[in-house]
Amino acid sequence: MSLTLDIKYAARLLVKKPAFTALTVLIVAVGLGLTLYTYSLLNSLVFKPLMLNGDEQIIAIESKYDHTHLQRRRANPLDLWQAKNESDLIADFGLYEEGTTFVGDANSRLGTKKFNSTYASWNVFEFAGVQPLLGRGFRVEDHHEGAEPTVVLSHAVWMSYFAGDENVVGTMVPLDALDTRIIGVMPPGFAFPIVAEIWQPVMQNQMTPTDRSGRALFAYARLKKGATLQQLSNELDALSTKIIATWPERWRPADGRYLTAEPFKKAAITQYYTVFIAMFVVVFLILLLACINVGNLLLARVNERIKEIAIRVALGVPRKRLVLQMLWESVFICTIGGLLALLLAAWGLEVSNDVFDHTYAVDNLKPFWWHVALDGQAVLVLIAAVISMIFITGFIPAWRALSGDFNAVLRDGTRGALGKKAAKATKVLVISEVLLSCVVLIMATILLSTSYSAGNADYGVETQNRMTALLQLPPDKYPVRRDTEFEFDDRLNRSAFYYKLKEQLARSSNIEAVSFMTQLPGRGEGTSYFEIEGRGAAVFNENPYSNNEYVASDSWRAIGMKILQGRDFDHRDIGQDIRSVIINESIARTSFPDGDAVGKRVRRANRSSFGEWHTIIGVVSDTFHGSAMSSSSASFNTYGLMDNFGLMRVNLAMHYSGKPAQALKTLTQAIADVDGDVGLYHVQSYDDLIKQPMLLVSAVSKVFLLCGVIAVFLAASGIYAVAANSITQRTQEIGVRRALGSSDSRIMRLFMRQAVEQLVIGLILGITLSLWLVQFMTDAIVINNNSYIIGLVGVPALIISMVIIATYIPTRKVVLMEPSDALHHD
Amino acid sequence: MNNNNKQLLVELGEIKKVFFTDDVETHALNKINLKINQGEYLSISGPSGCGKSTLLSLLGLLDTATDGRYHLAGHDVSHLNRDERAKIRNKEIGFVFQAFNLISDLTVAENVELPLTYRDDLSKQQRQSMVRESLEKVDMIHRADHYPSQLSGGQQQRVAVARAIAGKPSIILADEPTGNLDSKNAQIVMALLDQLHQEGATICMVTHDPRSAARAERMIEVFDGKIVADQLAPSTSAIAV
Repeated sequence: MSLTLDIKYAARLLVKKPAFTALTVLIVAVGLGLTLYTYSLLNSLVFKPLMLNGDEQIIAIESKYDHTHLQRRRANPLDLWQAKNESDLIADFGLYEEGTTFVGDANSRLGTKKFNSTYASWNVFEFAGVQPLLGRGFRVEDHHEGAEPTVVLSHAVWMSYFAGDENVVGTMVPLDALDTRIIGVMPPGFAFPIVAEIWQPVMQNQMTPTDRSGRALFAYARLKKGATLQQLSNELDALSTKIIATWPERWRPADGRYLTAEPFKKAAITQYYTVFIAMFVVVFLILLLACINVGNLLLARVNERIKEIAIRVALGVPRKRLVLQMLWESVFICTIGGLLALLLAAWGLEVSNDVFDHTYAVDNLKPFWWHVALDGQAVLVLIAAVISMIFITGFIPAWRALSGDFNAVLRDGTRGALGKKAAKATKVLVISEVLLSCVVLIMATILLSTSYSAGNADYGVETQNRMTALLQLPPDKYPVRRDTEFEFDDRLNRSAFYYKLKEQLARSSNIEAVSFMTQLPGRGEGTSYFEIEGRGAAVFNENPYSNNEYVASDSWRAIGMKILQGRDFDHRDIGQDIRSVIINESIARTSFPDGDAVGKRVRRANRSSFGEWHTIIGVVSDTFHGSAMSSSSASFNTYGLMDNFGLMRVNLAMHYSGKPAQALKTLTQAIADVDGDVGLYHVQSYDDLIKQPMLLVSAVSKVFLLCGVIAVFLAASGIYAVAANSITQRTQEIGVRRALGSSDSRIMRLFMRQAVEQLVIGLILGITLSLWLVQFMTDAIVINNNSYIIGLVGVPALIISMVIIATYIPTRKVVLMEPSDALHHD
Repeated sequence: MNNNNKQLLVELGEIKKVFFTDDVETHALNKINLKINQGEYLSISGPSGCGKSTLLSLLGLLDTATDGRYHLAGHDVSHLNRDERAKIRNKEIGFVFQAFNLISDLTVAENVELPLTYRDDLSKQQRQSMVRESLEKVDMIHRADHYPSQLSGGQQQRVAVARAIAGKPSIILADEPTGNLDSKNAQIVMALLDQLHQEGATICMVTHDPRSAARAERMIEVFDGKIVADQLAPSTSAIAV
């Protein structure tokens, strides 16, 4: 009966103050909703082990992540096999690499189309535990030299490109112009290892090489039952030490690390792992902020009802019952807030799926497990969070209800100030509010500002009226006859197409200039260390690091780049044994400060090899190849002449006048005129091209922005509520001080000084904690100095304003009361 | 009724105080006329809600009258602004409240020093000396470093008295000073007020306790917002507490 009474009473109190109830429920819903959303997001993307149809989680074995240049790195297959063969911990194992393949030719129904392909070990489908929907998977013999080329299609490719033809298995299709037999179709949604749209077998000589000269690969593996990732990591560390010892001294990495094992999902997003963790920390802090706010609102309510509580105590209410009564309000608020949080999180996850689809719409590079939704585990987490929140938010008012001097309250004998404990608690609440909001806002601001700066960074190129596209030569018309007398002529023949296209476009009145590069500024292709002749570092990775592109001659004008020293590529640089290179201004300024770069020689210096010496013939203006926020290598660039390599695919940038549609028409016509079989892909504006690598960070930044807005709302309302509540409780003290002759300004100063003391403590702790957390984010992104300034100056300034306003308004309100009213204030 | 041999300290003329709450007008004080001379010890008594505490608040400049004149030590204080009223409260008036109203975060000495810190004309040494003197007067010097929560009710009220007299005010206003005390402590506090009066202090005390009221030399009775009686008290020596 008493329980029913208490529930009824708590419900009546909530109904009686609908604005208060709505505010507290909203705060709970926002805090829990954001937590649930982030938990579900990170669980799907990172933390929930990738199992597919196996009993043990799938792990990735590869070279240690390159934090300096923010790159995931493959490992030599020989070393990966050694790791597999020498370990008793690995149950299943396979190798793969990812790339793109052009499916079809001019005779195909849909022409040529580019798909993400995975070259994998024969066991890739057995390993995943997923069998083809049609046909078969790979067999060992599919790897063998001379075996018929085979391909397995994803369900999406089968449906889109082959129109779901049930007789597709067994037919032949050109893959990069090589006739390949379709042997199977996988079920919907399957894209293991990450983004596969078609699968081809890795060639035997690449998968099991006899020396270390071959291409590096990634490995997928499953541990034996009972084995742990840590055990494998220890084994790999020992093995790495052994392998590294066999390398020439100059190839040895400074940190002595090589092979690593990581959960598969984590390895796929290593660069952003710390950003995701930072996001989780921020959301957790917001949840704490929400708890404190709700607790404080309930505390303020208890203060309003302190006389009523005193009467209940006087009437003999058991302490347990009093606490339960306090908790019932929290139960109602947190439960209703929790239900709303479920809806909010579900909506947020749906929006996230749309964002992911949009983000990866151009290149389909969304990992196949990146579909986020609420699951049973998330609901359990919500229930646990609601229960915790009930206790946290209920505890604060219950503590106040139990710790009051009820005799004094009943005698109206309040001592004119807060009790010592209550005053300390209030101080801690304000400091906590300042601290938490400071951390959340600084992190959100730094990430947002960095993302915004990178999005608006000067990439060193003109993007207005520039169109970009990818050109792909048909291999049947442009053969690659390696190790034959025709090899170099084939290269020149391929390169000739690009120059013919350029001439054709130059005849059009709406095309100003054309540029060809392996990757245009804004995107990056190959990176390596480079060594300056006579100035090589003791260890290869202590040399400077650069992004390296191949370009056609006269490629600078179209995108607004300039030759600053020396000359552009020309006929003098064409030849099998001619090695010319153009460097950018940053390299020249850093490595050749005397302006004597031209004529000097450089060569690539990587872990397993040195390149040939190249003579610097010119210096061009700076550009960023890659996102301005994602890679420190983006600013050092070298350029080689593409003519000597005869690239099969090249990116084009075209400076046009008039409408883009007309420019595209001109380009399409020009290609048709020169060679209609050449494929044209990824047509987009230069601005869109630059945004591509930023899309994921931009999406995460939006979550941070949402966190920031919520944090400002919670911090502002929370700081105001805490300050107003504590000042209201000190109304009598203010009355006493005024009765004793204190002026209004003196009282204002007193309260402002106390607020500033709390502010300073909160800000010092908050800024310190923020800097500590931000340093982890620098593993993932290059944070620019402006972002630090905005975060570390702007945020404290905002919080200082909030605290000053939050203290000034309620203090002023009390000070304006007549002292006699203040002295008799309840 | 006045004692015309002494200098006039307080003069209220036609004082009215009306409280407005929603649609209700409450006339707490209605055309009060009162004169208090320096060195007088008067009590104000009356039933609950009669307006005696309101009258004390007006006397202490803790509130403003709706209408009427108020002269304190020859100055018209009816129309002062908030800061001017604060200055007068600080220098001319000492308060003793029923609920003591000591600030719990300050020590005894700091509580007594508090009103002195609001003055610009006192050095730290002067303030400390005045604090010591007033604490000695109420026999609380030995508890100077204690916090209010470490004192009994009687001791807290003695500290409150010390705070009221520390600045040597023209008048001490006491609002039910024994209301929260047991009889023994009430006797100690009343004796203290007697002693202050004998030393020349002007005291105006609101009380509903006839025995306390009778210790004053002049007794005022308020009823329904009006002074209904103003008379000299019988000999205080005849009252047993």
